[in-house]
Parts: sequence; C-alpha cells; structure tokens
Amino acid sequence: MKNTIILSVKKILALTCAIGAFGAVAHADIVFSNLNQPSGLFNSGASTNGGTAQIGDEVILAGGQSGIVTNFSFEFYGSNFVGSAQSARVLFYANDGSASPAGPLNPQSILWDSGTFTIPDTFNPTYGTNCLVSFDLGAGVSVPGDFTWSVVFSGIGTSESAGLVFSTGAPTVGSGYNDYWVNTGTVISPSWSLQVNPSYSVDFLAQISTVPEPSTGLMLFSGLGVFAVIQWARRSSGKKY
Amino acid sequence: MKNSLILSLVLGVLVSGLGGYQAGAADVNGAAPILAPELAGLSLSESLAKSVACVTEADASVRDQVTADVLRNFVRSHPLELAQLVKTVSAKCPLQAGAAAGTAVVLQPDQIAAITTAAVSAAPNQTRDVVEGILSRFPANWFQVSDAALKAAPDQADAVVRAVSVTEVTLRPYLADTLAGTTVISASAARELLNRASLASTGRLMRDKQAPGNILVASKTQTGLSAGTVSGLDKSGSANGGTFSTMNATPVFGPPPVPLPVIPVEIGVGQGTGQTSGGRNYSGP
Repeated sequence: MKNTIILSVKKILALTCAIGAFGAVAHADIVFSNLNQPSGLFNSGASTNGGTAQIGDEVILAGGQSGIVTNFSFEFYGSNFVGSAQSARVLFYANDGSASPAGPLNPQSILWDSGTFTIPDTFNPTYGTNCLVSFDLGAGVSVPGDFTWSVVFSGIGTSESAGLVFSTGAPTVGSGYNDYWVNTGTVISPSWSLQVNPSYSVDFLAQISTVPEPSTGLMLFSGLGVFAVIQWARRSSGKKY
Repeated sequence: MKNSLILSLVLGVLVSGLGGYQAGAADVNGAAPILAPELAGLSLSESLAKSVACVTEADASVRDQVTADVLRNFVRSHPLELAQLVKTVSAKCPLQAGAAAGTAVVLQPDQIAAITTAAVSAAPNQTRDVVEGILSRFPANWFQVSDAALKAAPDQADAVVRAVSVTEVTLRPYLADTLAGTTVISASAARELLNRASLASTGRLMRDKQAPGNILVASKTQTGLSAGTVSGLDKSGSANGGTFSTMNATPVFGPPPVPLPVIPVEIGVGQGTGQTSGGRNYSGP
C-alpha cells in the first residue's frame, strides 16, 4: 500500500515535470531587447532619397540561438507629416548574400514582410516624440540566431522626416553590432551597404520574442518520454541497476 | 520434378531480369557508348576538343543522343572536369546546352552549380532550356540552380523564373500569376520572387487568403517597367518598390516604454560612412 502511494506520488511528480518542461518550451521568451535605453533619433533620409529609404539592424538573439519570432516591436518617429501618405514596411532578412566590402554578408533572403502600413506623426501628446510599433506574428517566423530586421519608409515629403530610434548602449538581452545596414536601392533591387556613424555606436531600438524551433521541444519531450519508459521498465521488472 | 522445373524457370526469369537491369544500369552509368570518341591517353584539352567535335559533327536528328553519350564517355576519364565539357559544348552548339546540362548533372550531381554556371554562361540565350533540363532531374535543387543561373546571366532572370515555375511544382501556384502578368526584369527581382514563393509555399509568409497565388502579382496593366522601379501595387495603393500584396500582421502603435531624453541626439543616414574591413565590433549585455 505504501509502495503504491509512493509510486503514485512519483508519477504525479514526473507528469508535473513533463508538463512544466513542455510549458517552458512553448512559452515565448524575449531574446533581444534594448527598448529601455533610447539615445536619439536616426533620420532614415527618406525625404532626400526619393521618399524611400531602408535601414536595418543586424542582431544576435540571446545565446545566438535560432527560433520562431512570435512578437516583434520597434520604435520610430515621424515629424511634420502632411496628409496621410506616409508609410512603413518591416522586413526580416537572413544575412546570406554576398560579402560586403567590410566582410559581413549582405541581407538577402527575406524571412518576413509586414507589407506596407500607414504611420502616424509621432510628435504629439499621444506619443511624445517617438512611437512603439508591435506585431503579433501569430504562428511565428523562423529566424536564425543572427539576422537583420529593417524598415522601409515611403511617402515622406521633402519637408517631412521619419526614422528609427537608436541606442548607443549594448542591448539588455541579446547583442548587436556597432554598425547598421542601409539599402539605397529598392526592396526588389537592393543595394546594401554596411555603415557606421563616426560619433556613435548605433543599435536601433527593438524587442524580439521567440519560441524555440519545434524540433527542440520535440527532442526534449521525446527525451522525457524515453526516460519515463526506462523508469517504468525498471519499476516493473524490480531490477536494481 | 515438376516443382523443380517451375523453380528453375522462375530462377531463370529472375536471373535474366537481373541481367537486363544490370545492363540498363550500366548503360545509364556509362556503358561503352557507340557514338563517343576514344579518349584514353588524351589530355584534357584534346579530350574536350574531340568530344565537342563529335557533337558538332553529329546529325541534328541524333545530336541529343550523341551529346549524352559524349558526356558519359568523358566523365570516365575526366570526372572533375565535366562542367568544362558542358561549357564547351554549350558554346559551340548552344541548342545542346539544355541536353548537355541535364545529362551532366545526373552523372555528377555534386557539380550541379558549376554545371549550371558553365551552361548558362556559355549559352545565355538557352538559359530556360538549361535550367529546365537540370531541374527536371533535380527539382528540389531549384534554389541552388536558379542562384547559379542568375549569377551567370543576370539579364536572363525572366527565363530562370519561368523555368523554375515549370519544373518545381510546389512553387508553381505562387509564380503563375506573376508570370502571366509581367516580366521579371532583374536578377534581384527574380531572387525575391522565388524566395517569396518558397516562403508562401511552406506557409512561412502570411498573405491575403482571398487571393491565393496573387502574392507575387504585379499589376497586369502596369507600364514603364525598368530596372528597380517596378510599380508594384499593394492594398494601400502605394508603390514603394515592392510588388507584393500586403501581409495580414496588424501593427499596433503605442507610446514608447521609455521616453527619449528631452533633447535627443539627432543623426541620420547622411552622416554614415562605410564600415571598414575588420571594423565591426560586437556589443553584448
């Protein structure tokens, strides 16, 4: 009777551990963030580049681990907007293109594209000077541990400006580089260059949450299952190893 | 006795069938071709010249077969130089580029990118035949093959996309409308089209469920196409260099969690300078 009770308790504990482990796997974790340390505004140059400009930041997720992005947020600003033609478009890229003159590989393969969305003027009481934009990516977007997120601003008139918010400090979660990507072409015909600001180390403000790749969770769950079967077999046979 | 007889007959049939299979396999893998030259003892350049001459002198009605035989013969003595033969054949007989490349990748699958590059660079006007010839054998290698072809002949981007759409069935639904409506004008546009078709085909790209297959559609009535200025129309009607319909992830706007300093630093693209080689610094928490 006593053994039966002990066995039941152990079964419950094992089940709890398994459920807990699986829950941990499915839970989204913040793997990159520097939202808490804004330093300044980075003008995308859209108003002087034919109304469009694409700037991007290459980031390294915590531990360099790939994952499935379920939430993405970034900060931008818009100033002196006239009318409502101003828009933005967010894209994720794998850095799998040809090597830039400095060495790092250019962004090339598009991993995710938000499509174009209208952006507001942010110099107002609602936002202050800048604005946080968040995307719920639903089932998620699979990304490598090092990739580039970017924003294309369009419809920015000559008297208007728009850009991202940057930080000069290191991210609080994940890491980045002291440079940023600029596409002086278009999304379809890009012309990327890796640039630095002579006065500041630039990381654009963003926050990225991921869940692990399914295979990771599956392997962990399978491992727990095998462990449970071995334990059960040992109990059933009564053998001591 | 009767059973033994039946057993013997069955075994006989099996053995003869196996023999036939072996003969077939040997043929595919390089049994002595009738139409190929003897290359034993010849240098690479001599082998190339002799092999190409065999193709060029063959009657047009049997040239495909001769090309295949010549390649099978050549690969025995020069397995690592097969792409060179493909390039030479494609340059001398451009119409054989597709057949040569298609046969070559079966003989040396590891050289698929080199063979693509060789054939396309030597016969750029036959790019579609080359890519189709290769992908009809290895459709799953569409990315590698299209990438090599686009690098070798960037101005043949449209041919590459069309060839992929014909041979890679999983991408076809996402390319058909685009191909019906417009011409792919640059290598980078082709890469993006193929990349997005691939993402869409695997469900990794969100798109308008009401318009299946239209993710890559540029307006069929658009005019004035020129490199880098495709007037793609999205739902908002704005043209920003893209050709794609909008995705359905909705942005949510809100105030920043931490406001900027009262007088924020202002910098911009115009102040940037190119990163120097080895100048990249890593920053971590």
